[in-house]
Amino acid sequence: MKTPSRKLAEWITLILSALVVFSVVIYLVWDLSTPNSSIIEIEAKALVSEAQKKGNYFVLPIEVHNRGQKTISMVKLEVQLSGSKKAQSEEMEIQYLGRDSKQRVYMYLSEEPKSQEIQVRPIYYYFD
Amino acid sequence: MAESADPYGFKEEGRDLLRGLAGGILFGMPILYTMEVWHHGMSYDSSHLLGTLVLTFFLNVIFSFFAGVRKKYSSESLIGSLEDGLTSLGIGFLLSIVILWLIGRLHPLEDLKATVGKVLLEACIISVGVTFTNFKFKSSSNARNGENKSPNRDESFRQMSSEEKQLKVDLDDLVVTFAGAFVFAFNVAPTEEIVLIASSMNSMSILILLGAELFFCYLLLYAAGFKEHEVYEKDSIFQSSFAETMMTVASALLVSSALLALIGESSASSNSLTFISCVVTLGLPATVGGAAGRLII
Repeated sequence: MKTPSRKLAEWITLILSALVVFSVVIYLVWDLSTPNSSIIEIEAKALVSEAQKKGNYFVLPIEVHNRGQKTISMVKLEVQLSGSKKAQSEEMEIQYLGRDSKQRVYMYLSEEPKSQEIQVRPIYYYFD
Repeated sequence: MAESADPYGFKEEGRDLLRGLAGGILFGMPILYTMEVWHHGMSYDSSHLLGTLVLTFFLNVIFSFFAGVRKKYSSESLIGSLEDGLTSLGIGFLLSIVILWLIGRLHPLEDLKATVGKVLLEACIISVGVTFTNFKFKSSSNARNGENKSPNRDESFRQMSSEEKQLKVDLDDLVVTFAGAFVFAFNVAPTEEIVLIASSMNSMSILILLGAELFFCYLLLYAAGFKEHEVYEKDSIFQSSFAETMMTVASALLVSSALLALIGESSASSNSLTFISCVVTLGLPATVGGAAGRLII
């Protein structure tokens, strides 16, 4: 029996699929070849200028940046507040933070953020 | 369909693609909504992702090859199967991107590696659904239209000795067992529940679970009477219900091991005892899937 030849539509489907799959493979192989460390630098800062009053509270955005080349999970941060009232600290956790990506966390405060000294520091992170 | 009505094959290929998309959605929908898969996709390093992609591609290819999807290209069935495997994965990637975007799981500012990881893991299971659906419903459609599903296959199969026929049938069964186990187990392998269940069970419980897997497999393959098993070598001990059941469960456990190593929770591989417990735990849905695959095909 004569083997039927492949039709144009089948070729188009095949070529497009091959392009997608091989692009992914090439990207992953390239990623494997780039060096990456398990020691991650996390940058966290309070964006006081963007804080807003909502009802009885002030909402303060805190931006966290994973500067490393790996996705990290269970990122714990400590926010230290020192103002007119006694100093306090709060903790927050981010479940997943992709490599070289930022995430904002919004914190409620009873006092105006500009009247306080706010420091944010990472406590720990972990890999899956 | 007459050649002149569809000279470039767009209508037929369009129908096949729509059928594949439907099958991909059916198989992939549970996993597309599973948070652990999104997170694993973001967290896994590239070696894990590549390994999963290669395993899935291999599975799609052998499924296509033994199930005869492209048997009409009789002189190129392996090449045809490789092409089918690529096409299934391509459709899987497309569908994965669309659905993840629709449910807001893809973010334009997200790291490319995280996006690729999420899409890839989802695409793997969808592609198996595409491969299976195209095989199953193309066969049914050809039968309804009075077309011989694979004229070369039927003719060559009739010419085989009983030993060769039995080997062919057994290889087909093995392939669909792997495919069915893969589909069922892939949905739960990345979840915390496998480790949670395994860690709460002692050795006796694990052994009892293994016995239950053998029982359910036998139930599905033989006792429930869903389908007659094709036997050409009646005297062979490998055709006994005991041997068939053992091999099906063994295949399912093999698939479980591979999936746990590639996409399971990292704590599942923390030590050998935990790993074995998790393999047996995941082995139950994998066994059910493997037996279901043999019933459906």
